[in-house]
Amino acid sequence: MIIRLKVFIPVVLLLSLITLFILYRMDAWLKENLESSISLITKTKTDITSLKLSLVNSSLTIRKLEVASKSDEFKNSIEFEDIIFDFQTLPLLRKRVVVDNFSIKGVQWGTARKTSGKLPPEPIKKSEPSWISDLTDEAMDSLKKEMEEVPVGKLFEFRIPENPREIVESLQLKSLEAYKNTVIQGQNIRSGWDARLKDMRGMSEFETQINLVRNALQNVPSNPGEIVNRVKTVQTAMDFFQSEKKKAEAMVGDAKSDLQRIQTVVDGANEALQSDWQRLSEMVSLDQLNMNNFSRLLFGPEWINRAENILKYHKLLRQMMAKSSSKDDVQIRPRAKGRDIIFIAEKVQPSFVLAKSEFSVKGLEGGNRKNVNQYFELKVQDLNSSPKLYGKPTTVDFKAQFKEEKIAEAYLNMFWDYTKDIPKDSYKAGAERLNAADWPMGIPRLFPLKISKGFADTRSELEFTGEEMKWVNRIDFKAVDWDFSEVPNQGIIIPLLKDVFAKVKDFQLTLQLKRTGERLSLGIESDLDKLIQAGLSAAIEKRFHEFKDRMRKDLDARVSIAKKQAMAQLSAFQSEVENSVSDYVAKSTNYIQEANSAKESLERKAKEGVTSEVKKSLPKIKLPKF
Amino acid sequence: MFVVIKTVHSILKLLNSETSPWQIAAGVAFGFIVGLTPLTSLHNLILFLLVCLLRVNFSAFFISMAVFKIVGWLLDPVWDSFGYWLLVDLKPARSFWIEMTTGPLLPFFRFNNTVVMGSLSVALILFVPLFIGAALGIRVYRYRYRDRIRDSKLVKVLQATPLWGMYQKYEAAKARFGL
Repeated sequence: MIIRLKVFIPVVLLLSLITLFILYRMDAWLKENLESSISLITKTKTDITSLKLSLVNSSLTIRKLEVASKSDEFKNSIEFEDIIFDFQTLPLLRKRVVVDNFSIKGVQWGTARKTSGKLPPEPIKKSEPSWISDLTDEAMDSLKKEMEEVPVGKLFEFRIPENPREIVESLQLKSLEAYKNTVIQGQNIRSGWDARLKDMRGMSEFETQINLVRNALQNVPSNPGEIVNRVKTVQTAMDFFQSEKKKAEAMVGDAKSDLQRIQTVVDGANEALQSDWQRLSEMVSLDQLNMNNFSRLLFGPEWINRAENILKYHKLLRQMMAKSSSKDDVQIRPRAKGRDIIFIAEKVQPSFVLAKSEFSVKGLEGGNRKNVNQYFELKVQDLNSSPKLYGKPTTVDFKAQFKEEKIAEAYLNMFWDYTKDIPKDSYKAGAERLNAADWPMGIPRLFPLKISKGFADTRSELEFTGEEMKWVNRIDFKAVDWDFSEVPNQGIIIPLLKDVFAKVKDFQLTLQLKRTGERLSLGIESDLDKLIQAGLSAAIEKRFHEFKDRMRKDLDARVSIAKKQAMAQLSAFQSEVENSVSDYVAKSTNYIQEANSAKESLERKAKEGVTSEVKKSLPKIKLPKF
Repeated sequence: MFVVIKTVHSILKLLNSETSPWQIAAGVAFGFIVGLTPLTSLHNLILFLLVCLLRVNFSAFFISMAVFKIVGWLLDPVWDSFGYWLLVDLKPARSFWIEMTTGPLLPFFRFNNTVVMGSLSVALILFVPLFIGAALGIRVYRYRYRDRIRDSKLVKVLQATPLWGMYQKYEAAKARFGL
């Protein structure tokens, strides 16, 4: 016979026993796996008192889940009383977990542990995994580098100078050069004018010509012919004056334009003097401390480290949820052996689904059910393992209220849409009355400024569309006290800062991290900057003012000779060239008028002479009387 | 070395025995499938039950499984590529694969894994030829080569080595203690 039952039956029995053993050990196996999985994320020990999986009741009950604290190994950071999952049994045959209901009963914080919550040290990893992509890693590195280059050292090194001459001499004065240049240019223009003025007919020529005119008016003869000769002489003088006037008028235009040129150069030198003063003033100001963005220095480095961690978790989530291949109809997941192909089709369903769950948890004080001091609400919708198969986005809304705690109220809204090729997700979180002392700030070792007391109300919005990211955090600090105990008390700025910070109780801070294309930018704005700058300026202004007065005098003294020469050049040009050319024009005009009147007088006399000559030459005729 | 001698001896003993060639061939063919595909796959449990139920030679099954396990491990990248081609690139078979991966209990067989699919497909295609080939091969060996190999110089030299003597003593001891 082809079949041998003698072997088959014992083997089937053996396999059945193995199956029963597995089912019997399933709870322990699940418990261990769950503990190690949570520990992997929290990096502290996780303990579960008991775990019961019931296929008959389709439920999984976890009793007392404790997550140890990172800071205190004998305390739990959180402890859940009962966690219950109600799932469907039939989908299990299709290797799917469909959770109908999920609830948590009772939560406590900071409870004591019986055993240490420390995990054995992990082997040191050689390299950190990339958090979004190589390009973003580079962008994050450059941001961190920028944070390292923040001139915190200047706060300690800053001094108010004592010798103004040293500062003035250390600067290459542009104004000095400009004034010297003005003198040289003025001299060049002036020498050109000297030659032109030389080429002009002298005043003696004018005098000769006007004397001829005046002589023509002396002892005027009665003979019209002689008078006409004198008119000709006057006309010649007039032509001379008009021609000279035209020349002089042309020179007036040139002189004005040259004067304008010299004036422009002088103005430039004056501006250079102003710019030199500006530069000197900047050397003796708070601007060199970059106090206009002090909040960037104060809150940037620590926050960027925390932000990087959060973005790493986000990347992990995306890797799990939004993994997709270049082919649209399949998803490919790498496995230890080969790859699992998940077909995107109507018939295919995700292996894990939690369609809807809504529950609230009460936080108990000292484990006493009567003393409820916290209240939590959680709404989960369409949580699943393969969003593309499921086709609906996931939402998780969490709300917490605390009584007599540091935090008054907190919320977290998460939205994941990994159903399409470009994944989108957004997170909104907020908390009121956070302990301001817990807020990450300062630069370790270099400038470890902290907040010792106070509250912070915070709102955070993080949005991802594909690889684009925008993260805006707004924090309102209230009633804060500053802790300078670890900041080295050096230089003059730090003691002043202590006084200024002591007056700052309320301020707001906005941190914005944005990734566009390959660029990652961090913007930090705060009204703290203005408050600090105003406070420091007020404290140091008087000392700066006195020093600046002395420095101004020193600067003026240094450029005074060159400046005087330049101004003298300008006034000399004005008085000598422009005035002499103007005089020339005026004199020509006057002489033209004098010659013209002389000419008119002579012409009149010539006319009278001609008339009398004509009268004399005519016969005396007696006209009849009517 | 001892293990190699033992294995070779077992193979020769099996081939020279009076066991039906079909039973040995079935062992080789089933061992071929289990060896070639990932051991922990669910289909291997069914195959093992089949081997127990049917009159299949266990020695042939385990020897074949061990030999083809090495071959299968070496050819993992080939199974991965072939499985990927079958599951992703072979569009006409898509609806069949969807049925094979979504039906009740079927997801536990991990047919959507490229290595499982690649190696199992090749193993199933070659199962019948290997089964018939092995059976015919054993017959040919028994009729034509068995006596020649038994009387060959190589076997005699092998039997003259101290290692062979030690092995014989080991076998005798086993027989004496009923192991």
